[in-house]
Amino acid sequence: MTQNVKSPAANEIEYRKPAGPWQLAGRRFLRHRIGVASAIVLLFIVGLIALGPAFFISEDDAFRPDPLVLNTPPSADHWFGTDEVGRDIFARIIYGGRISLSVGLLAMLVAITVGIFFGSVSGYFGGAVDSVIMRMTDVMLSIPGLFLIIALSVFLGPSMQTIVLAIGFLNWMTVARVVRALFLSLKEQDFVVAARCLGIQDVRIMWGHILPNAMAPVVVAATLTVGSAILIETAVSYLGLGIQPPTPSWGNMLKNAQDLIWTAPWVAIFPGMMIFFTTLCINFMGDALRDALDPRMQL
Amino acid sequence: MAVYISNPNLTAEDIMRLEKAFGLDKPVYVQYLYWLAKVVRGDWGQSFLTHQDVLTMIGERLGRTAILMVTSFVVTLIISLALGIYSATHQYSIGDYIVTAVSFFGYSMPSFWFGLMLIIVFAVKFKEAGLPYLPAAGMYPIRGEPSLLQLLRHMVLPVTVLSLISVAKYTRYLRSSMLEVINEDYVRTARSKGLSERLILWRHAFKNAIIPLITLLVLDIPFLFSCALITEQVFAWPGMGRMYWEHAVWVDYPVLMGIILLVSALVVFCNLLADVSYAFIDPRIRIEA
Repeated sequence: MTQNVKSPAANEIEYRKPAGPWQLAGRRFLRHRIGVASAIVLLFIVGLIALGPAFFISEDDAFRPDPLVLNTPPSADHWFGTDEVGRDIFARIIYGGRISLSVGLLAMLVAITVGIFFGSVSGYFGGAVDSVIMRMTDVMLSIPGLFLIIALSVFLGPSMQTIVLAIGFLNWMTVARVVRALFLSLKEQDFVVAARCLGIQDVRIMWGHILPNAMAPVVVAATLTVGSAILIETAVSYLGLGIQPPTPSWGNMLKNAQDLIWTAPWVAIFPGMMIFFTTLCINFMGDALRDALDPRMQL
Repeated sequence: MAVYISNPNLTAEDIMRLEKAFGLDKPVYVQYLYWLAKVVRGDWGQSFLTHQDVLTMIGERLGRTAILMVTSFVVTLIISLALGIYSATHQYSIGDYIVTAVSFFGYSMPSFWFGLMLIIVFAVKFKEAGLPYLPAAGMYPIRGEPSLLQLLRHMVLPVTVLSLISVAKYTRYLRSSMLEVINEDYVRTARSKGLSERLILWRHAFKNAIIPLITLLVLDIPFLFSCALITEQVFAWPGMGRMYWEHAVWVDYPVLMGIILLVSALVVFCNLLADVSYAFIDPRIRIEA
């Protein structure tokens, strides 16, 4: 009897959305074991740094000099030892990590903002604008940045804002190039032609239509920029022209440590180790992201 | 001028007089033009700090930085060539993975920390253990005479640090460049002709793969300079990079501007050198020109 046969109603059919490009990339990323491992380690480090001060490290530990425990090696009380004024190095690493990582992230944001702006304008409009912007990019790429950063920090006074802006303004070029390349190819696609036919303004097409399709390499470039920004910031702080003590930064912790390598080498080992591992994880993750987001690779 | 303004003994007139003497009452671009005119004539100004002639100061220190940079350049070239070729010809072997991993490590390594670690191991710990150790700082020993052997001994650690990051980068680059070349058709032709692998490698693959690398190396010389700045700071090497830093801390503009001018000239020169060497190495460019 037809009554007993129930055909599924239209709204009962299970509809599974096909995986979008980001989900596909995510799956490819997960297949890259080192990338995933690095991401987990990075998550752990960032979690420790972000949540540490709220839960188990107090600002006291990181900033209060304790003359009774100068230069003690790692022990149960002080996991990484103490520095030359008696502050707990583990706590300082966590607080320093906040500063160094924030500088890295903020500098990356500055860099990709400037880079996206110049890259999109250059790629979309082409012609003279493109030439001018590309020349400017070439010039900035050939300048060794460290001298300029030092000069800027001397001129404007060493502070977090100076460093963030300086690093950001010296690292946007790779992002700009990548964005420009993508814009040049996407510009000829049908959806852009359609948008133009509809009379949408150029700026809106650039940033509302084309840019969302160009984000994949920007993500990769951004990740790698964070890594290099952290390295630059710590280098400048090591030279004493970045974040100033007593605010800890992994770089200026190393600066103080240099005098102590003969008596207290652990003061130098731990901050640098953090810089190294964080940058390593970021670079591995960025590499894995690049492989995952590359549309040409067959995995 | 801020330094002087905060001095309570100077009256307002004195400050104005000083400003006029230093030419600070003119707008910035005019001051810059004055400086440029003097530079072209050979007068690079006097340091605010030591009142020495900037050109002489730079000249003193330039040679010392050059020693480090040239040595490091040569070492980088040799090592990255060796590792890059090995890695490309033994692709996916254990050696290749090790080289790639080391490249990654080197690329992410903060050079100043690496320098400090090397100092800790080779200078501090070795000395404590009674082993022959490498010196931790400076160009020559404080006591005793400056001989070539001492210079070389003092140079080992700084050059290692300076080379590491470059080696990491160029090894990877050369590896991918070689891999690209090895898969080209003309290499396959040579192989089918019956040429030995070694001949193919050296005569065909290597020469083609190395072209972009040489230009890259030459263009990176100014960046080697900024790495040298950090390395000189770690090892207390009395070179130009260190001088830049020392005078930056004292806001000694004449010296800073002199060094930046030199670095910019170096950038331009290196770009020129890269173009010329590209034409020199690649006969196709020569013929087209």
